[in-house]
Formats: sequence, C-alpha cells, structure tokens
Amino acid sequence: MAMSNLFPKFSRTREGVKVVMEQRLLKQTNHLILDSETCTGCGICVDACPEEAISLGLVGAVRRGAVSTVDDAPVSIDAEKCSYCGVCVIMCPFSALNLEIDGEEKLPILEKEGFPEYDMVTEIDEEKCVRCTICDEICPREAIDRDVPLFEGADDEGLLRQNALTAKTEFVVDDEKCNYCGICGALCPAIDVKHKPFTAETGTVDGEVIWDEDLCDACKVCVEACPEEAITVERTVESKKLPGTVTIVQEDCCTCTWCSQNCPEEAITVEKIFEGDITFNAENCPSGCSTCVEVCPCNAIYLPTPKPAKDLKRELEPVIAVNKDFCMLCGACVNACPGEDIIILRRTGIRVKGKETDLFKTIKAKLLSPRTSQVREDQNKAGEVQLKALETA
Amino acid sequence: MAFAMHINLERCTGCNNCVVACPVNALELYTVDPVTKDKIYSVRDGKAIVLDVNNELCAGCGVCVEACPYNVIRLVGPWETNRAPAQGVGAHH
Repeated sequence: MAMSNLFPKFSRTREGVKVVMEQRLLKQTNHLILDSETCTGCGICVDACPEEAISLGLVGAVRRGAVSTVDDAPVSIDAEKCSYCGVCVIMCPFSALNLEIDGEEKLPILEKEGFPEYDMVTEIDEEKCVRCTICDEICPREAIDRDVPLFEGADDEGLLRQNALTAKTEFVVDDEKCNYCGICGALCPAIDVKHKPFTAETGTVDGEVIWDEDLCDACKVCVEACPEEAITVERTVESKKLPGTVTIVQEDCCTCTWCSQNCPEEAITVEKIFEGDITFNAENCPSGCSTCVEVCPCNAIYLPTPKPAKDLKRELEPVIAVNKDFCMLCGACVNACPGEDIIILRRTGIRVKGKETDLFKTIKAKLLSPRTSQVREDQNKAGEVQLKALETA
Repeated sequence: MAFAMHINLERCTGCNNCVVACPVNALELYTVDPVTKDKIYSVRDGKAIVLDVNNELCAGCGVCVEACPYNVIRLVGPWETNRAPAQGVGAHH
C-alpha cells in the first residue's frame, strides 16, 4: 500500500463472502459491497457501470462451487475506477450490491431522481392465497416470506393440528346412558372422567365427563369406544384458511415467475422486468458441461430427459434446453458458456418506473444489444469474460 | 478468457479426466520429447508431465476442477492479483 497522506484512498478487501470496495475522501467514505454468494454472474452491472469499472470473472466456476465464494466472485470491481454512483446497485436484479456512504445505505442518485428503478410487480392476493407451501418451495431465490405458524406436521413442537382452522366442535354426553366407565378418559387426553368419591352411603358410581375443546380433534374414537354409545361429536369448520400470511420479498425476487405460474389458487401476480427472447442452439453445444444449468438463477435451463429409442422417430432430443416461461433474460448463462453461438440473448425492453434519464437510456441501449458467448478471446484481456455482440435483427 | 489455472504437478497423475471434461478442449496433457520437440502424452514420475492450458479458450466454467479426482486443479480469477498469470494482466488495486 502506498504510504501517502493524499486523498482519495482506494482499497478492495474481503469480509467472508462480501467484497468491499472502498473510496476514502477527505470528508466522506464510500463503500460498494458485493455479495459473492448472491451474485449470479448475470453481468448487468458490467453493462450498467458508467465508468466500466466492473468486469466478468469466473462465472461458471464460482456458481457451481469449483471456486469458493470466499475466494472469488463472478464479477470483479475496480475500486479506483468506480465512481460509487450506485447505478449497479439499482440495476442488479438480485440485490447483490449495496452502496454505503459513511456507513449508511444510501442511493443519492435515486434520491435526486437521476435514475429510474425497476418496475417490479410482485403481489400475492391475500384473499386468494390459502397459505400452501408451493411458492415457498418452488422459488429458486428464496424470495418468499411464508409467515405461517408451524404445526405438528412440520415440526415436533408445532401447534396442534386441530387448532389450524377456525372450527367449532360439539361434544355431547347423554347423561342417561353414560355410566362413567372411564374409557373415553383413558383413551383421549381431551377427556377427563372425574369420579365422585365412592361412598358406602350410595354404593354407586357417579361423576362427570370433562371435555377440553382445545385438545379435541374430532377423531371420534371416544364415540366408537363408548360401550353405551353415549357420546356424540360433531365438528363444523367455519374458515378453511390457515393463519399467517405469505408475501414476496421484492428485494430478493428476480421475476422468474415460477411462483405465479404454479400457484394453485392463481393468487400471485409477477411481471418480468426484462422483455425479449433467448435462443438455445443446442446443435452447437458440445454437451456434458452443464455450466449454464448450474449458473441459471431462475432454474430455467435443463438437460432434456433422454427418450426411449422407440420414441425418437429419427430425431435426437436436444442436449440442452431452456424453459422460456421462467427465463428472466439475465444473461448469466451467456457469460458462463464456454462455447460459441450456443446461447443467444436478445433483450428488447426494460420495465422501469421513474424518469428515464439520459444515463439510463445509454445503459438501456447497451443492455438491449444482442449477444452470445465466444470461444477464443483476446489474451491481453486475461481474467475477463468477453462476449460477442450480434447484429440487431 | 485466459483464467489462470494452477495445477499441483506433484499430485497430477495424468489420468486425463480434465482433458476429457473440458467443453472447449482447452486442456491438453503432454510432455515434450527432448529430441524432436513433439508433444507426446506421457507420465513419468510426475516430473515429465506438463498440463497446458490454452488460455484463450478457458472460459472459467470449472468443469475440470470438478472432474479431477485428486483435487489437483485450482482455478484462479481476477481477485487473486498477486498470483495472476505471468503474461496476463489480472485485476489490480
């Protein structure tokens, strides 16, 4: 480190999986923090950076775990070239970047309306949602906040299942028939048969049956077991909705639409932030590498299941394919692909809210340029992924 | 893309898994015949092996790292500035 008392001073350090780019000015310290684990290698920040301070690195190797996120990150930011403007923070669809000014998270460029934001639509209709587990489990980014209490089925110490729904249970003992034999009390924790003291004065059995509604789940074993058929149990459900709420954490959501397409109640509305198209030319793919499958943050790429020979009909299934429904056009696959002309990404629009300033329009033009990966690259740009720009159709 | 690959030559056995796994044939396993200077595939006491990376082809996908049964390969990105390849530039402070 140079022994200089001149400002500004720059540094780039690691704190676990976070990479911290620091710029110390005389009266202010700026930090740009990259989370290597959250970063998907989409490279949108690379196109967005007005200072071209960000470059793409080992996207494939880091995302598949061949290189640890503590040792490296899919992108590399030059702490000196960076102007700490925060555009990359706004444009990162995965919220992997953060800007701190004097230790406080801030985005002056947004405050001053110098840049728009993504117009993200991520709504779950509270009325339609039945609090099932599908969106929470299906989300590739863990962006669902399922705030529903745990019941016995999910956790040994969870709440009792009979209390999950709003229901009314009726437990009626026919006093004429009941002889306080005690069987129902012996079987079920919800029933207690209390005997009055046995006195020689009467020489008989007397008592009462006490029922705890909170513990009763209307299983009706008591009804079945009672030798005198003295018990009636009826349960009426008033509301089938589970308690709690399920919401989408917009910061973590990347608008892949896995949840909205699979919600059984059609309660979710998600609008993708990018418009455009992605093409997989599987005939160019050497196959067996699967880097794109591992890198895709939306779980949109897959290796088609081999068909039995009798179903092939003289046509081999493609070695690689994308489900365009779930692709959010982030471009991570293009950056990770070791081949050429296999994956072609063409974005045609970006949904934003706020004024589309000139700076945004320049960046938008870069993001909308079609691209694919290339095999041979310039050795002078060692340590950097280079892409091939395609002619706009 | 010219990412740096560090190979532990003492532990490399010449099994060829990485060469086969590489999607762009960026890896080649060879030793140089001292007379003809031809590249020949040979393993001799671990010292004659040279695992070469065709830098301009390496995409940094990491398939070779996962394919190596002996964990001999280490892929190095722009973060590790001090160990950047000799001819490369790497990132810098």
